[in-house]
Formats: sequence, structure tokens, C-alpha cells
Amino acid sequence: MSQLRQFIRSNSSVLCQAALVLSCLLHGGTPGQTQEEDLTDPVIAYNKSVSAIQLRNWGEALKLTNGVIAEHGNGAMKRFGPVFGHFYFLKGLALLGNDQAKESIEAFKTCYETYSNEILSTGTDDEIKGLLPNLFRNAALVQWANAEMKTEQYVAAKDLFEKVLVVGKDDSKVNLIHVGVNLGRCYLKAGDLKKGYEFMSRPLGNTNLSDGLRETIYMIIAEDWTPEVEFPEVLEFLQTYSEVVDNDPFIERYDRNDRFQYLAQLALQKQDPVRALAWYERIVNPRLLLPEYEQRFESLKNRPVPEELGAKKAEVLNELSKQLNDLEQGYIQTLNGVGSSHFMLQNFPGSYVAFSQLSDQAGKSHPERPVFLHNAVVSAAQIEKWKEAYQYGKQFLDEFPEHDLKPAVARVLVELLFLREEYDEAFRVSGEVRQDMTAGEAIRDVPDFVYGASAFHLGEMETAETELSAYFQTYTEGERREMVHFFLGLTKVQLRKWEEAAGVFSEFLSTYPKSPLTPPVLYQAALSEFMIDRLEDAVAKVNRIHEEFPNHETAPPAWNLKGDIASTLEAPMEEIEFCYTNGRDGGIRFQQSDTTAYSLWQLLMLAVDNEQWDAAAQHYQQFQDDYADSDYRNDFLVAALPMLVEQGRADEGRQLLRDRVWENRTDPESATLSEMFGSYVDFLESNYENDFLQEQLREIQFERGTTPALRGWAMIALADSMEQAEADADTVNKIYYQLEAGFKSEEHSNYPAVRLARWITEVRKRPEEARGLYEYILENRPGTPNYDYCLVDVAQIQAQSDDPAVREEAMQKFAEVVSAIPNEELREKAVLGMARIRMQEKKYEEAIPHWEKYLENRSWSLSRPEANYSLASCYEQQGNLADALKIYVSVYANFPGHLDWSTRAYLRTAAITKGSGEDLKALQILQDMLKRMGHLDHPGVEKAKEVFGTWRVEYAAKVKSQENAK
Amino acid sequence: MSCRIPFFFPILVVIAAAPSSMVRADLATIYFKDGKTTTIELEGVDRARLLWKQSSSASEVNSTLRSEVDSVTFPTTETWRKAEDARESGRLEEALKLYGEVIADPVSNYFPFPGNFVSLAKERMLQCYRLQLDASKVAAQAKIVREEFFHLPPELKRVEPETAAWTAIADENWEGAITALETVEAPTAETYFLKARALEGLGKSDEAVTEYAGAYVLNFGGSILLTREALRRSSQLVFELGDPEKTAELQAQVKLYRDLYGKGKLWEGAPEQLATLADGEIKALGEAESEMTKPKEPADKMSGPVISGSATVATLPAQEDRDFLLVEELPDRVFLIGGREDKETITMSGGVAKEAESFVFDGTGGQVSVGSADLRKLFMQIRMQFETEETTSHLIHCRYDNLGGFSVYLKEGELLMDWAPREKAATTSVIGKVEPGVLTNLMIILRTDGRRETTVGRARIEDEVPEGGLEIVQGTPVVFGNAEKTMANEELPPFKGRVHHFSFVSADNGLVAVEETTTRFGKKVHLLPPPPEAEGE
Repeated sequence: MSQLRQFIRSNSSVLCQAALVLSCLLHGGTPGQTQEEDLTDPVIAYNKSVSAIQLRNWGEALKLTNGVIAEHGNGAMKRFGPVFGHFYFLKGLALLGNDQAKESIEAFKTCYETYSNEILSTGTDDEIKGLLPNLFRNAALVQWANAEMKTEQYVAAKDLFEKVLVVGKDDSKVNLIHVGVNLGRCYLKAGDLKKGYEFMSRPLGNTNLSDGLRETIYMIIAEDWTPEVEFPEVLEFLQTYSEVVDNDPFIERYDRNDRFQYLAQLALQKQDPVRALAWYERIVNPRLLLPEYEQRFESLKNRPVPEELGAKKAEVLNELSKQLNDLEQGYIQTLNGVGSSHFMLQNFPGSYVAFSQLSDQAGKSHPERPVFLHNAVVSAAQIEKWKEAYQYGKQFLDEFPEHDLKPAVARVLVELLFLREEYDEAFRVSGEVRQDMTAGEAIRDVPDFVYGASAFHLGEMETAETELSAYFQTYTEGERREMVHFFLGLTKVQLRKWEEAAGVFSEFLSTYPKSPLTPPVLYQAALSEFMIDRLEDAVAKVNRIHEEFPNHETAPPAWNLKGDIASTLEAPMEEIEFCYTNGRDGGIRFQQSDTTAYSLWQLLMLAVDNEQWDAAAQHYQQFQDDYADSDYRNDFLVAALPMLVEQGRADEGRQLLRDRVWENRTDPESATLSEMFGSYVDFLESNYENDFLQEQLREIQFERGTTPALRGWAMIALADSMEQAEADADTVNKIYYQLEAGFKSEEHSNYPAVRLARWITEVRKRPEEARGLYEYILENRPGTPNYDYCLVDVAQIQAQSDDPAVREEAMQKFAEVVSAIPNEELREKAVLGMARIRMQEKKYEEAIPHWEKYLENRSWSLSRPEANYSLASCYEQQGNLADALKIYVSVYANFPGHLDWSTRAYLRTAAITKGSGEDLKALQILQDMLKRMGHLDHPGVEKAKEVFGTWRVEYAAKVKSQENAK
Repeated sequence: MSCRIPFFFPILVVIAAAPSSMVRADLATIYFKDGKTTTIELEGVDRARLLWKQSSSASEVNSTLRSEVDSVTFPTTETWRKAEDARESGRLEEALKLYGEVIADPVSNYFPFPGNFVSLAKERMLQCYRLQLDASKVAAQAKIVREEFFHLPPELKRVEPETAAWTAIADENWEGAITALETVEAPTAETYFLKARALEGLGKSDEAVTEYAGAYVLNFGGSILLTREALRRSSQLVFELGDPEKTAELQAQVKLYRDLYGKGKLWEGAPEQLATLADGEIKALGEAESEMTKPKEPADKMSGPVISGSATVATLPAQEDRDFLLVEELPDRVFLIGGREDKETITMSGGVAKEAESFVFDGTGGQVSVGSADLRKLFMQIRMQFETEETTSHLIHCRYDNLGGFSVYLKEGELLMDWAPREKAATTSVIGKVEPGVLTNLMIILRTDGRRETTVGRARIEDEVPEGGLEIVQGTPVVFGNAEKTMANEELPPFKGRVHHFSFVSADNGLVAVEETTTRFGKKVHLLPPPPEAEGE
């Protein structure tokens, strides 16, 4: 029995009846008679086509329908009527099923247009006799529209769907809801957003429709409509309909994640972060599905399977493992998007949480880890989570030293360190990171600034000067140029390059007239100008501060500076006092204790200088009441001493000085101990008897709680005091012996150690022992007071060595002094030392530059006769007798009293003269010498007498011989 | 402890009075204390013992002491499933009500083993209260759950740090809350929220703002209540801090609150300035450094029209104009009619997952059990729509111990059926051919007179089995997918492929079968438009 007839048997619809009639007409028989062999038979072909379609055998269905159409298509309308359109409908379905949507259009169109049922109502009875209606006409129209839609011909599809709504409204086979949805989508695709949304949102709001259909509609609107409309409209849609997708179980929601992810990323790309977050809110957190997938994984893992299924099990486990990984990656991708959205919204707490989590959790091998770390650093910096920003920045630099983002991270990191005042780290890290960058690149701008400015804060002024100057030259449009300009000026100030500092600050003021740094720049400029005696310029700047920025914190110190200038200009006392008084009051107002303390110190000195003891006492009291801990306390105390003495309070002053000494007794390297001990001894010397002084010093030596350092100071002072009192050498030496016994360098200040060392060298004649004391200081206390003296003293000891290597060490120490120590006294000793070593070694050529250097510096007077004589000796050794003679003559002419050198100079002058054959002149020189110095007891004089006697005898013999020859 | 006592007795009665009770022949997973796990057929539950079989075909009943078991995943009940679904979907009030129903029905839901639904429901209620951010209810429920520890799986036998923090917060013990959270290794949105609440309580507003950010950022797609509350509190704190440099941050937060979580409004009592701020335009900062490439359209983005059905449906008259439904038009793609219970119980186990309306078998031994069939009936109809990837595998299986049953399987492309009436040897017949990768419609009808009609696609084979049916009185599930062995004791690979539809109808005769099917779905049901052979019975 054919399917067509089976179909008819089980249905009573019009369609079935029509098919039955078709069958009867075609075959002229009754239902039940079939010719299954003839595939061009319409009934057989029809039934087989339907069957093939039901089994998705599209090729078969197409073959069958094409066969019938080819066989019967011509004149089919007349012969069979509109019902023949059914074959075109089936053909269209087969083509659609076979993914030939474009080709299916013609079939559906033919079914609908060619096989219209109109003839059945307009034709005569004869014409319509035996003809049957096309019952798939509206269905064909729907499929035609579907096919147009599938081929993205949305306008054409839209027209067709609109038509369906009219012609198919009473056709139960037409699913008007789906038609409406598709029509809505066509409107959207064709650009009619309003109409499209209207058509789509109506069924979306219909809770009678299936969840699946509503979800489909929601997603269509989301994907096709929302990207095209303004966010407020989208928002309304989301607020109204999102529960359609939000309340599904996680697993179903997860299926939509990729699509919402896409919409969110699209929004981010269009700089619309709120919209992006709206879509991210629809995404189910993939981590919520982890338990489900993990359970699947564990379940399979634990399930025993037959051996032959082992490979398959492994394969599925692998797939599940991949899915688990996909879940994690999905989470990371989403969190990345959420973090980016908050970043764009400048909601940095949000972006910080996202990127810090990603940095912590995404794993070190995640391809976007550098981005996560970078964003974490930037976000953390924005919310002032400095520690975290630093940590993530460090991780970045450690893990991705070659990454493109390194400069950006480094930039944030180094600036962060700088802002945190971690200058050591800022200096180190900026130094490292900029090595990979080219100077002048924009990205190196901040690291270069931080490097230079950190060097400034670390007191590395030479480096700071070099770096900041380089920045200034390199980055003509630099981001931190203004700050660099400022720091460069400060560096010059620190280096006491006042002239340059004044220039830098002056340029700053003209380049950045509205800079917020103007008040401090004015102050620093004024200070610099004050130091180079451009007092009027300095006053002008200070006045600007007081006129333009009276409430700026720079105003009080500027008053102090103005007081200093007035003082220098020897202005009337009232004027100076006015300035410091303002400085004092301003300092109190701004709670600048240093400024106030300085003002009080200056006011005190002013009062003392002018013997206004009551006023001085007032300042003294104010200082002691409120600023007793100020950095100026020691200077202040020293300045107050005359007032205290004057007011009969010398003991108070003495006690205070002693207290200060005592306070600092535990730190042998303390400069304050050195200064205050000196002041204490001076005060005792000036205001008390020597016995009292010595008693006080002994007290300090033996007082409970005293320290070796303090004891050392006291003993040296006691020895000095005794020397001044002309005590015998043994008594003084006894003190030094006591000091030397058990002397531990680390427990003593440099000064007592140096004094002891000199005593050991000079009195005990044991320079090598003394060297140990010096070397402790040289090795352990560079930069402390008296260090430089040690250097020179040791070099001088080494210079006496017979070992050339030791002498070379001495040369190096002297050279260090010459190049690095600004103390002229020591520099003179150093140059002299170097020259002497070379002389001792008879390296005359090398000695010459040292002697010349010595002689060039006219203020050096320690050994000018020696220097001249030695230089002449060098010339003489080189055969330059003319220059040698000139200098020898100058020595005995200019330094006749320096017998060691003047006598030698005479003798060498005479010898050279004699050597040139001028015997008489040589004798005259010696005669001149003996005339001047003959009465003096000096080996040189004795030598001259001896030589003169010898030469005179020789000369007489020679003259006699010549006369005889004549 | 006191609440457990009344529950024991009825269970014992049920087990004793009805050995083939509800839990019989249902799959459960036992987690042993030694770390092993096994999925078994649960036979019964006693106070101290679990009775089970390795499979439905096994005859040996094992007994496991409670002391050997960590926990059991029991076959779920409908109320439980609904409650879980409601909770997962965020319908918390509904979920709480349903969990209440579970607790109130210990006969169905309580077994004296860790993993029973009554104890689990109490724990789930705690989770619901946490999701509702109701500190006082969390604190109260935490006490109840604490008393259930004995009956909870090991992973739930602990007071989670978040629960402890909620309890502390209920007492305004802010420091205590922070201390409780210190042990959290992987903080969640809730953890952040709780820490923020505690910090806020301590007056540490700045720190609280960052912690609230953790809550609303990490909670994407999660409970709106948590996100909304975190944003509200954070915004309020930032506003109170009054830092003008945080204006952009504040604006972002109030805008997000209003637009995404507040349905266009700020919270009641929100300062007017915040409403103004939310109205203002946000100028997005340049994108965060990101290597997110240009978005790619997702592969599953819908294209083409929304259609009403398959091409098969398209060739049919409208539903109103016919008296049958195709299986693709059914609300339930898997069903059992004429079974031992009112409605079928469907249990998936092993390597099978549900995708849309279909079951996907990965070939590692997944099976779907549909219970419980009545094998006493003389008329049986099995329908299946599937695609296989293999030519040899198990397909359908139904047996009761070693008494008898039937199995359908593939062997080198041929479809075979073993038929084993009670205590009789199985007879094996080739009943059709199946091609891999092709959608296959299979229908097997066993008539009262012993005729067996098999339709594979349009191909039909008619043969006979011994008259009188299987004669098995016990109920047992019909399983599709994997099986242990065929009825003829042959071991085959598990099924790999997709099943779109499966149904089993048993009745006294064909007419009753049609009648019962029609009663359930309103119309007759066909795999394909109408197979006339189904008529007339």
C-alpha cells in the first residue's frame, strides 16, 4: 500500500483528500492501486519524495521530484491543476535540506506563483473539472521567504513574510509566530530597526510561548538589534526581557556565553564599557560549572572499563580535561573583559581586582599574563595600592624582561618607587630598565627623570647633575621637564654651584611663569643669588614671594633669607630683626619648626651682637621652651653663651654644653660630639681657670657611664691644656701613653686617634704603629671628620718607605687628596708629597709637573724654597742649566733665610758657573754667599767655606800658571 | 540529633515491607572512605548498611557498612531536582520552599547516610540565605547545619569561612568576620563582600571600597542581589569619602548600579548628587592595555530563519489538522508509558551528556536508564531515533537479574535483538540494518500474539518471538546506551553517537498502548508520518 494512501487513511484533512483525489485522477483507479515501479508516476513519486524527505534523503527526493516535473510539468496546470505545485514544494524542501537555499527559491516561487488556486474560483466548470487545489501554497511562500532569508536577501524575504501575514493568516499550517519573528529579523537586517524590534519583542513578551523560542528571539535581538541602537534602548530591552535568559540553569546559560562574550567585546571595541558590562552580566561564570565537569571527569576516571575501551576512555578524559580548561579560559577571558570595562570607566578598584586576580590565577604560562600584570600595575597605582603595584611591576620585569610592555610597566613602577620615596630602589630599577631603551625615546622619559631625581634624593649630586642635565638636553618636550628643571636647580644648589643654580632657576621662572613650583623656585633662586652676592636680585625674588604668595609655605623661610641678605648688606638692625621676626611668626603659623628655630637663632645672635641681653634671653627662652630639640639647638646654645655669661649664667651654659657632649658620647663618629666637645673646652678655657678645666676633663674621663670616645677627647684636651701650661713632656707623654694602652680604634673619634697617631709618629718615632690607627679610619670611616688628614698622614708615612710599592701607595693617596679633597692645606701637602717621592726616586722628569703645580698655586707657602730648588735640580739633571741657574738664583735671592735651600742653591749656582769655565765668577758667587751667610752656623755654609777655599787655591794656581805661560 | 530519630523507623519499614521500593534499581554512586568510587544499582538502605548490586544483571547483593562510606549520591527525587533548579536559577524563595518540602518528607528524601536529601536540603537552605545576604538567617541556619554534620558528605562537614563571617557579621563582630575569612584560599565574590562589610563596620572605608569592587567584579553573571548591594555600599562610601579625585570612580559605580542593577533607579534614599552623577555622561578612558583582538563572531551565532519544524513536519498538515504528533513535536523526547510508576524516572550515568534535546554518548559506557518498565505486559513498543558512529555496539537493554529480558544491539551494521522470556534461553534475531552517521528511526513492536515488527527507516521486518511475553513481574528500567552484556551474554562496545528520542510503551495490547499514549500527549505519537502498521491494534 502506498504511503499516499496510508496517509489518506490516517488523515481526514483537506490535504489528504486532495492527495487522494490527485491519486485517483492520475491513475483513474481507486485508492490502493499503486504502480511502485514507475517513478515518474506522480503518486509514487510523491509518496516516495515525502518518504525520502522524512529520512533526510535529499538527493533521492530531488531526483524524484525533478523526474515528475520533467515528465509532467508541461501543461500540468491544465491537466492536474494547482495541486501539481506540491512537487515544486517538495523539490524546494529537498533543495533546502541539501543546503541549496538559493536554488530552492525558484521551486517555492513556482509552487506559489505558477500553481495558484485562483483558477479554481475563476475558471469555468469545464476548466476546473478534475483540478485540485495547491494546499502548500502558503507553506511554499513561507519557505520561499525562509530561503531568501537564508541567502541573506532580507528585503526580499521581508516582502514575502509580510505577504504571508496577509495571505496565510487563516492557514493553520502557517506558524504566524515564527513568521512574525522572521519578519522582525528581516526588518532588522534590512535596517528597519524600529519595526524589527516591534515584531520581535511582541512574542518575546509572550510568556505562553516556549522558553526555547523566547530565548531564540532574545538572542536575535541581542545580536542583530542591540549593536545598532543607542544604549538607553538596549537598557530597556535588557531590563524588560533578560530574565528570559538569566534564569536558566548554568549549563544552558553557558552555551550562550560565547555569544554574549562577542557582544561585550564589540561594545568594548566601541568604547562602550557600560554596555559591555551589561553583556558580561548575562554570562554565566564558567567556574560555576567546574564542579559539574569535574564530577564528570572524576566519574569517568574512576569507572572501570574493559581493556579495549581504555584508549577511548583516555580520549574522552582528554576531551573532558580540555573542556575543564576551556571553562577556566572562559573565566579568564570574561574577567579580562570585565576588568577592561571598569578600567575604561575609570573605576580602578574594579579593574584592580580583576587584573590582580588574573595576574594571580591565570598562570604564568598564560599568553596574556604580561597584559594582566601591566593592567594590575596601572590600576593599583591609580588607587594608591603602592605595595601591590610594586609587586606586580616587579613580577612583570622579572618574567618579561623583553616584552613590549616593559617600558610602560617600568615607567609606572619607577615613578611609583619615586613617589613612595624609595629612592634607592627607584634609582636602581630606573637605571636597569632604561638600559634597554634608547635615550630620547618617549618611553624612557620618566625612567630618566626618576634616575636623576632619585640620585638627587640619595645625595649623589654629581650623578644627579649629569643625569638631569642630560634629560634637559635630550627631552626638549619631555613629560617631566618642569620637574627636571626644578631638580636640576636644586642639585646645583646642593653642589654649591650658585651661579649655575641661579641661572637654572631664572630660566625656570621665565619658562614656567604659572608653575605651581614658582614659590620654591623663587626661594631657591634667591638663595643662590644671595650666595653669589647678587643681593638685589635675591631681594627682588624674596619680595615676589611675599607679595604674590604670602600664604605659601615658602614665605617664612623667605623672610629668614631676607634677614640673611639684610644682615649681609649691613642694614639697620631693626630691618634685619623685622625679617627674622616675620620668619619666626610665619614659621609658627605654618608649623615649620625648623624655620622658627632658625629665626630665633638669628634673632638671638642679633641681640647678642647688639648686647641686647634681655631680648637675647627672651629668644633663648622661647627656643628652649618650644624648639629645644631643633637641629639648631647646638648652634643656638653656642650663640647664647655670651648672653649666659653676661647674665651670670655661665655655669648654666657650661652644664648645657657638657650635657650635649654627654648626650653624644656613645657615637665616636658623631660630628656633634666633635663640635660640642670643642665648644665645651673653648668655653672652659675662656671662662674658667686652667685647673678647673683640667679637673672637668678628668671628671669626664672617670665619670660613670663615660665612653672610650669621650675619654679619648678628654685626654687629648687635657694633654693640650698641659702643653699650654708648659707642663714637662713626660707628664704630657704620660697621658698619651695612657691613651695608647688598650686603644681600640673603633671606640674612638677620628680626632683623638689622629692626634695619638701623630704622637706615636713624632714622639715615639714609630710611624708603622701609627699607620694602624690611620688605616682603621681610612678603611672604615670614609667621609668622616679628619678622614682626609689620615689620608695625608698615612701617605706621608708611606712616602718614607724604602719599598717602591709602598711609595706608590702613597702616591695614590696623595693623588686622591689632590683630586677629591677641597682642603687646600691637605692638597698642598699632597702635591709636595708626590714631588718629594719622585725626587727621592730620582725620577726628575716625573717630579717636574708636581713641583710646577706646587709653584703655580701661590697661596701654598709651606715649602716654596724647596719646591724652587727641587725644580731647578730637576732641570739641571735634565741638562737645562740655563733654567736651573735662574731658579737657583731666585732661591737664594728670595729665600735667603731658608738656609737648607738657599745655601744649596748658592753652591749649585757656583758649581754650574764653574762648570762652564767661569771660575772667577763661581768664586764671586761663593764670596757673595759667605758675605751674607758666613756668620751663620749651617752645614751649607761650612761646605761653602770649604769649597771656596779649595777653589780659591785652584784658581790662584791656575792664574799663576797662566802668568808663567805668558 | 533528635530530628534524626523519627526518620529511621519509616525507612526500615519501607525497606522491609517493599523490597522493590522506590530506591530499588536506581543508580547511585558510593564514595568509599578508602577513596574508591563506584556507581551501583541501589537495592536498599538501612540504618547502618547500604544494599546494592554492581549492575541490574548482577545477582549478588552487596552490603556496605556506613562506617565504610564517606557519602552516597542518591537517585534524585523530583522535588529535590526542582529545588536545585530553582536555587541555580536564582529563584531563592521558591528554592527555600522546595527544600522545606524535602525536609518535610523524610520518607522520600531521608536515608541514614551522608548525602541524604533532608540533610543536604538544610545545607542548601544555608546557601540560599547566604545568597540572600541575610546575616541573621545565615547565623541561625548555620547552627542547624552544624547539627547535621554527621549526615553530610565530607566536603560539607565544615563551617565555611564565609558562613563563619556571616555569623560574626550578624553579631556586628567585624574583627571576627575578618579573622574568619583569613583562611580563604580562593576568595569569591561573597568573600570580598563579607570582608568589605566587616571593613565598613570598622570604619575602614577606603579598604572596604576595594573589597566591594572584588564582590561586584567577580560576581559577573551571578546573584544580582550581591552585585547590587556591593555597588550600593561602595558608592555610598566613596560619596562619603568626598574625594574629588574619585568622581569618575563614583560616577561609574552609580551608573552601573542604576542601569544594570537598579532598573533605572538608584536605591531609596540615595543622595541627590549621586542621581545627578549617574545622569552625567561618562567619557570612557582609552582601553586598558589588552591583546583582545577584534571580536570574532561566535561560531554558534544564529543565522537564517526561525523555523517551525523539520522538513518532515513541513510536508505534513498543521497539527490541528492531524491526529498524531511526531516525536520531534513532543515536550518529552524520552518517555515510558505503562510502567510501574506514574511517571518515568530518567537517570543518566557515565559517558553521556545532554545537549539540547539529545543525548550524546561518548563511547566510554554511558547509559540512560528509564524506569521502571512493566515487563509483564504482552504488548511492547520500542521507539528510538538515533545516529550511531559505530557499526557494533550495545543499544537497548532491559533485564531483571538473570530472569530474562531483551537487548537490542548492533553488530557489523546489522541490528540484532535478543529475546529472553523468564528463565528461558535468549533467542537472537537479525531485525534490520543500520548505517553509521545516518539518522535512523527504529521501531520495534512486540504484539500479543508473538509477532515482532521491526521498522528501520522505511524498511520493515516481521518475525515472531515466543507468545506470552517476557513474563517478568518485577519492574526494571529500560536502558539505552551501554549494557554489560547482551541477553546472549555477548560483550560489545558501548554505544557511541546521539539519541534524539527513546520511548518504551508496554500495555495489554496495542489499542491500550495507543490510548495511553494519546491520553498523555493528546494525540497519537509517530516517529515518522503515520506508520500504518501501528494502527488497528
